[in-house]
Amino acid sequence: MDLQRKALSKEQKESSEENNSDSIILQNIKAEHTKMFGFRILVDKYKEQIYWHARRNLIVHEDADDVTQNVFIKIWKNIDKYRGDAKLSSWIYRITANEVINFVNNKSYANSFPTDEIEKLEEAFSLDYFSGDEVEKAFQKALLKLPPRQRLVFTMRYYDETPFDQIAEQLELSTGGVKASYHHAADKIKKWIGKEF
Amino acid sequence: MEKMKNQKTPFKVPDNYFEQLTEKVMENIEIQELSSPKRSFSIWAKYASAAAVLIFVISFAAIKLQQEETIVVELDTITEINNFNTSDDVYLEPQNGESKEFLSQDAIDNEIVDWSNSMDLDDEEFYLLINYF
Repeated sequence: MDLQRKALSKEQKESSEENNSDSIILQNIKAEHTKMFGFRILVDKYKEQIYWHARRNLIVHEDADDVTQNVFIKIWKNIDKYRGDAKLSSWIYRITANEVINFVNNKSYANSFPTDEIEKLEEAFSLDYFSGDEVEKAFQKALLKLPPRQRLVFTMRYYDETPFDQIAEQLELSTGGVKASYHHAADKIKKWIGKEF
Repeated sequence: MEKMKNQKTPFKVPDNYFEQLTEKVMENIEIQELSSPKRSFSIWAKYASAAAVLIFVISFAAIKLQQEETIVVELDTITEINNFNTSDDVYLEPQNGESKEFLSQDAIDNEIVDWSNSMDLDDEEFYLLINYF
């Protein structure tokens, strides 16, 4: 019970620290003379999370880099519209998720890969960009076969261990829908990898 | 899958990628900012267009109002004229004090006959004369 309480208070403390630092960032961004400074802190704080979020879904570094930069431009353009109803991190993840989905839809990754995309993917699995084994490679390829939203849900849960209700909040979906998406995705991946090995 | 879950993400990034990413993003933002005067210009253009439309509408409304007043005045004049009881003879009176005699065709003919008698005109000459008038 004590351990549970300790863990809870640690989580609350971290959450409140995050909120404080976000509110300082926002205060800086809202003031005209510290806008750039505030935005730089925001970029420093969220760049890795946004990049990895994109990279796990898009696999190719260049694509993830493009999406990351687009996300920051969108944040910059729309920061005045952020009303503070949701946490800043949730708002940023929502922008990232939309940007990833748009990117995937534009490239029609789910159905077929154009030749240059296959080359880019092979490059993504080369030693310079990838440190996994053959099973990991098959796993990544299976991930790419998932529909964009299912892939997002799966990567958020699988890599970041984000709670289902948080994923639901960030992607504006129902918690039940998110759970179903995750389990469908896991089943498909197991089936696809099982066929290869 | 559980085994893989415990592994870190298998992807790598180019050296110093994250260090350079901040600068790259800030450069993009500065480019966005540089293009923002265009945006503010377009906002001013929108204001100017709105002002021009407003001025046009106000001018149009003013002209229309003025025309309506004129019509009201004209209508008042017509109403006054209609209400003023005058006989039709008034409108037959010569304008600007000019006096004009209106003679009937019979009177003209009688005068021509009198004049032709005094001139001793024969029938053919009289016929030509009467047709002339």
